[in-house]
Amino acid sequence: MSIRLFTYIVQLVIKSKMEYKESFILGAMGQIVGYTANYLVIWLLLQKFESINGWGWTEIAFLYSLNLLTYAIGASFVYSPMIGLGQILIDGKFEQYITKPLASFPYFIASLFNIGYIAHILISGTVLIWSLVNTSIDWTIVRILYLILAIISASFLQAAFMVVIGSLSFYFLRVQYLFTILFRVREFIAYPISVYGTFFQIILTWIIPLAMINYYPSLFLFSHGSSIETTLYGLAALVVGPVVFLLAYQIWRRGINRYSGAGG
Amino acid sequence: MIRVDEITREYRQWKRYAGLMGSIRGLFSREYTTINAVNQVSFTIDQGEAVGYIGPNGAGKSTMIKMLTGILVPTAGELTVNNLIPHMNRKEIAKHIGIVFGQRSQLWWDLPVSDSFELHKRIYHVSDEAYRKNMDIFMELLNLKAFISQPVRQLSLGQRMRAEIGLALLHDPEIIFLDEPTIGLDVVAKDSIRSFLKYINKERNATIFLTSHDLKDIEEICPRLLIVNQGKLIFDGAVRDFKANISSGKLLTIEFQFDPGTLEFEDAILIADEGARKMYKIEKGLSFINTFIGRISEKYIITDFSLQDYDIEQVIRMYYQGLESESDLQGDLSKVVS
Amino acid sequence: MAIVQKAFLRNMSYRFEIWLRLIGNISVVFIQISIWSALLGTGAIEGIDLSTMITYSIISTSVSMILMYQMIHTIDGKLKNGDIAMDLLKPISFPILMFFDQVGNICFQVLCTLVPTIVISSLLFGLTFPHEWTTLLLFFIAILFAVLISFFISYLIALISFWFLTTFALEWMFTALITVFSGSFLPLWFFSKEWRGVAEMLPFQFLGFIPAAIFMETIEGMEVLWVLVKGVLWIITLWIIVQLLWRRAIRRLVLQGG
Repeated sequence: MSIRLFTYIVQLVIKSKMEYKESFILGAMGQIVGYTANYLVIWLLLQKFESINGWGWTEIAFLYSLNLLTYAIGASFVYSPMIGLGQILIDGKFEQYITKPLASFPYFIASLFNIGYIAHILISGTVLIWSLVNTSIDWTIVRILYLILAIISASFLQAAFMVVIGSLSFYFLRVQYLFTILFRVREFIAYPISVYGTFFQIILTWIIPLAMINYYPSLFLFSHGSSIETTLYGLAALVVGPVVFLLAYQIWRRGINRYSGAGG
Repeated sequence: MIRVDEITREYRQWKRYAGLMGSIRGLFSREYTTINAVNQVSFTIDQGEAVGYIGPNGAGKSTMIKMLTGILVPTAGELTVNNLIPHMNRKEIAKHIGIVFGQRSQLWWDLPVSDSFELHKRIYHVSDEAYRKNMDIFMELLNLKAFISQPVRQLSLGQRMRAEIGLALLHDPEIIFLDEPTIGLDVVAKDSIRSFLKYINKERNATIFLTSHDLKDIEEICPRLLIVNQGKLIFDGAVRDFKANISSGKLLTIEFQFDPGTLEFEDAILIADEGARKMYKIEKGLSFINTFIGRISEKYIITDFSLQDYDIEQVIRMYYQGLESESDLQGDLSKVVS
Repeated sequence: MAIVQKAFLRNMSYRFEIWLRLIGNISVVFIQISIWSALLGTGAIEGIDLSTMITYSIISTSVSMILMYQMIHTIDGKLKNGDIAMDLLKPISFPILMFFDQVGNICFQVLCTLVPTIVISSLLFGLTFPHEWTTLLLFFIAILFAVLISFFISYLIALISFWFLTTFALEWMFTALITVFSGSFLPLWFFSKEWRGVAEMLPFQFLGFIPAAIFMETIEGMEVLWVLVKGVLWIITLWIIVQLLWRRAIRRLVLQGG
């Protein structure tokens, strides 16, 4: 499927959404207020305590925003198709995506692209930039490039988790609850993972590599802790996203085979 | 073109348990039963044929369409479309087929109809020239011009179905699968869709594979009829032959003054019994019917009776009933099939 | 009772979701405790040490699990598709019907998530129990308040959205208010003076902070009484607002012809 066709479909999605401009804008405002509250709680906390494990308000704000921003980018593409898949299968509407002369995955996710995450992107992007300006990082080209790549990789990683859960719809149909669990687990990385014991740090790095989304890139940029380790993890964060996404895509493909083989 | 050889498709049905204890039990156990939605069905369809595929709910019609379009993989047997195995060549097959599912829309709900066509043009790489040519035809014959720039959500069901069919035909598919294309439509809308499909079948030599509850669809569009019941193919032949064989019989409805109880006769099969109003199926000539009525009127008071030929719909209904109840009727009708 | 039982059974059929929900809740408690242990270490700030915050996290998280937010969509859906007409014909008033439907949910949540979460968390992290049995009584009253206030707030959201045609934005805004002012993560003790002042003027503190603080006996004596009076006033106020809006919504519904 060509990028041109993908963007054309996304345009159609946006055009559809703009048929309901008022509720769209209202919703976006609601979301911005909602996330402001989350920032506010952290801010209130750090008003009292100044830092968590050596991370001050601006750094935590950066950490939090990086998670939210990459989630929003990933979710724009895959959240709606993945959470909706179960119902789409039940309604028999999935068939139209696999009976086209196209790769079904990109066609499916483009058709259900969600522009609603623009509010998330706005608020997290704003806070991210604000925090960058207010930290003591000296910005070199390498650092800027690193940040951009880290955002891309982390967005893939965020999407990958949702694709894995969505693909389970082919087996169980009802997976909404797993998304709630994912969001709960994602709460772990709202704060620097050094607050958890070694055991959880290992899990969040090697088993469910959520820490690759924001913790290691932040460490890399802020150069906390020992240098070599930080650099290695920081660089790993740039590749882990696409790699895990490819794995997730394999699970998706198995799911489709299972769907046409045993279910329907 | 389409070759189906001893195709079987199984489904698993999970067992559910009732009540509170049942749902607790459900936490631990996952038992299932196997059902054959399609059971050793074979047929071939040539290019340009129009075939009606009918059967009662749960007979496996949709399952067959899903296998032919590559959505489902058969459990056993062989199946090719254009000499390709559908589920292994989904993308390739997709270029050559058009699919219309009556109850599932491919149109973009909030956008003008034209946007969906524009998208399909891009998906199927339809050339500008072919696009213009087809759109001209659809504008006229499906009367798309009346609503092409309206959002789909504002269309009537009939308009939407017409758009749906146009959309499925935009890339000049060689085979068209239609699953209940006229469901819920009024007579006028049905007529326009039927005549359009006939036109496409004739003018473009496109193969049509149609399932429907409305047998009128099939009588008008499809010269050939396949009947399935409980997963099995029970009739394959010309609609004309099917009707000719069956319609030598008549339906006799008799209204009694009082309910005479069950009345059964040889050569006159009771097919509907509403007490004082009974319907018999009679395959012998008029003279038999005369004496038959005479014989009954000696014993019971008849207030009215009527005689009619039955149409295909009634015949097929009897067909199903016969198969389900395993009554004498089945023996009768299997003669027709053979 | 039949309504309660039906809602209970509906929940029961959701298989291992129950297990997953439990894991989710415990991880929320775990995250909060980890942060407090990073912040407080072995010391104490304003007389509050880690073990206090552990108890606080367990109780406030557990309380937040049994609140009645799900029904926003139930009521919203019924108002919009006109199903409400069927419910209005029933010989029981709709808000009461909804309330008991939710009570069924809550009984389920209490049995299948609240109790296990408290038990498992206290085994894992340690829970400080109240010294006086009267505290438990007060705690249950506080929980009842939390349930009632969450019920009215959800009802309010659904009703307001009847005019705005979307619950989405309102839900986000109310969630925002609850996130900050319920104190379910950050107790009001740690709020700066101005923010604490705001929080105390709002009903949201009853959804997390108050029950936990009562359980921990940090609110005592006459103060408890005052808090409970405030709770009652909030319940009455919300109830009146909901009643007024409800009547208007019904009138509008009738005028529209369902």
